[in-house]
Amino acid sequence: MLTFRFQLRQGGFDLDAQGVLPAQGRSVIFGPSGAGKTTLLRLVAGLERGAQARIAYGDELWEDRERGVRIPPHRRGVGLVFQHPVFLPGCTVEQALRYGWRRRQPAERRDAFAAAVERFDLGAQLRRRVETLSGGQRQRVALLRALLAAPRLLLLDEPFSGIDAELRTTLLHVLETLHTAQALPMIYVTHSAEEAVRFADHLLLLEAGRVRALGPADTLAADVSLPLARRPDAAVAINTEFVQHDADDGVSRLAFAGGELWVTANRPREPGARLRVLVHARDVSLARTRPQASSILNVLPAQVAALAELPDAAVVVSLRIGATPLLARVSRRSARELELQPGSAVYAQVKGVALQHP
Amino acid sequence: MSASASTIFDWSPLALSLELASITTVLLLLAGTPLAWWLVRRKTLARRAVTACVMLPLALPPTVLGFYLLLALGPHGPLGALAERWSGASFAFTFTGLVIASMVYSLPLVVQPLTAGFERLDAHHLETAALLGAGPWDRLVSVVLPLLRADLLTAAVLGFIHTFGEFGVVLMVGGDIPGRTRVLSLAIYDHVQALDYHEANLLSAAAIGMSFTALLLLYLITQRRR
Repeated sequence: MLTFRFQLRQGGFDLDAQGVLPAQGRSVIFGPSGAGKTTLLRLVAGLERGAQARIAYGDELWEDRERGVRIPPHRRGVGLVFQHPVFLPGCTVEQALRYGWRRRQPAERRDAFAAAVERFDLGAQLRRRVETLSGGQRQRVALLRALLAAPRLLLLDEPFSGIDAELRTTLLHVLETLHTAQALPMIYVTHSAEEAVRFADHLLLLEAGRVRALGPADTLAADVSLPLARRPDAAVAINTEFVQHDADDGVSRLAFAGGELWVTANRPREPGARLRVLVHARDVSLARTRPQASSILNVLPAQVAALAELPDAAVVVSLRIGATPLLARVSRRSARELELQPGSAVYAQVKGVALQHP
Repeated sequence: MSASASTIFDWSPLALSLELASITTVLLLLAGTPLAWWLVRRKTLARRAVTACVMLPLALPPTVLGFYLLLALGPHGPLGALAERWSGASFAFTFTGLVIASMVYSLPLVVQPLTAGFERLDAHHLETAALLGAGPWDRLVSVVLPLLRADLLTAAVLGFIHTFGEFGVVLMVGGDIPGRTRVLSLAIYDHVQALDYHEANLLSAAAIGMSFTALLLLYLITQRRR
């Protein structure tokens, strides 16, 4: 558990945030630019001075201004990937990667150097100078460099915001597999709502230096009183397990707590493989009765938990399928004609082509 | 001067100047690096005042500086009295006194490039190193020194040639004692006073050669790195 309370005044900026983040899984700090996300991350790493700070990781006290305790950054066992990582001028990929690796005792190292380099597809680049690499490759080096230093907690400050969408998806996927393989807790800062929802197990919503909400990501993403669910691109992520693949039709059947989903997919997975599926609110429509002969692959019995009017004649509806939250965005007229209100039983229809697992 | 003495030219002032400049430069780098770091880390009024003091020798006539250094290093000055109690003699007219005086005189030329280097140093480099497990000394050696290589070299060369060429301060503090405090610049002056233009010419040419070579090396090395 990461327990923190930070108060920091810097120029016109004022941060006053406290909370508890679990020491496992992926936590995302989400908020608009200028909300203080980066500062919060730097406070966790111990890079900001002059704050009223109290932070403890598990039973280790990292910083307590009142008791004069301050563990310096290099002894916190924290890794950080900056938005714009820096490398010593002229250093090669190998030198960059070995910097943190060399500074760990062999017993503390989590990865074999060569194997990790291969997994990150950097074997051919080891002798190149870092400044000759593309932005995406540099970010990959920065990520692996942080991992090779065997951190107990990995902090990521918008690490993929400067690189193209395709590569971003790949790197996010690398992070996801890494998280599963090493059980490495991460705190990820982003101002992209989609990235936040896709990646987060836990969400911290930061607005103007204050914690607006903190909790499990699926609950917060589907909470219609919070800004995430009210966005036009609102979505929830559903944790599923692979069940079967139909190669003729190119669809896969995935099971989640409360039902099953058909998604378009071009290849089968291991049975039981964990997949996170992002379902956008705009791809979910609602019906009072079970539709017959529809092109929609997924018809899921659901219950309305809450709904909220949005300014653009739309209504966002928070649904529960069993225990799993889902969002639907419908027109105000549809909401009225379906007489939607909390507790209503409906059928949520999700197009299979709208869902793709990575 | 006899004929036999003039055939064996006395190069000892050059050797003494080189020794003085080398020792002063090494000591100044050791003292100036932490000082420069301290000066740029926070911009308090006290630190600005210290910066002004560090730069003061550039603004003063060397004789003014030399006069007060002579008082400080002499038997009635604080440093000189301390030395007298410890070793029986003050620092006035000694080589040690010359080293101390030269450090004060050349301090601004060493600190100036170093503060400029520290100002340019991107804190992200240090933060990245810390989060990869490097402690403060480790960061100094593995990050700061490599990044400031050119600035350190500039500081060393400027400190060296500035000390090598000083006149007023060494005259006041050292007293021009042959073999002990008669450095190159004083010897040239003495030769000219004695109308020994040939000797003055030899030492002066050596001084120009040394300084030019040092500066040329500095620019060759630092400009290849950028």
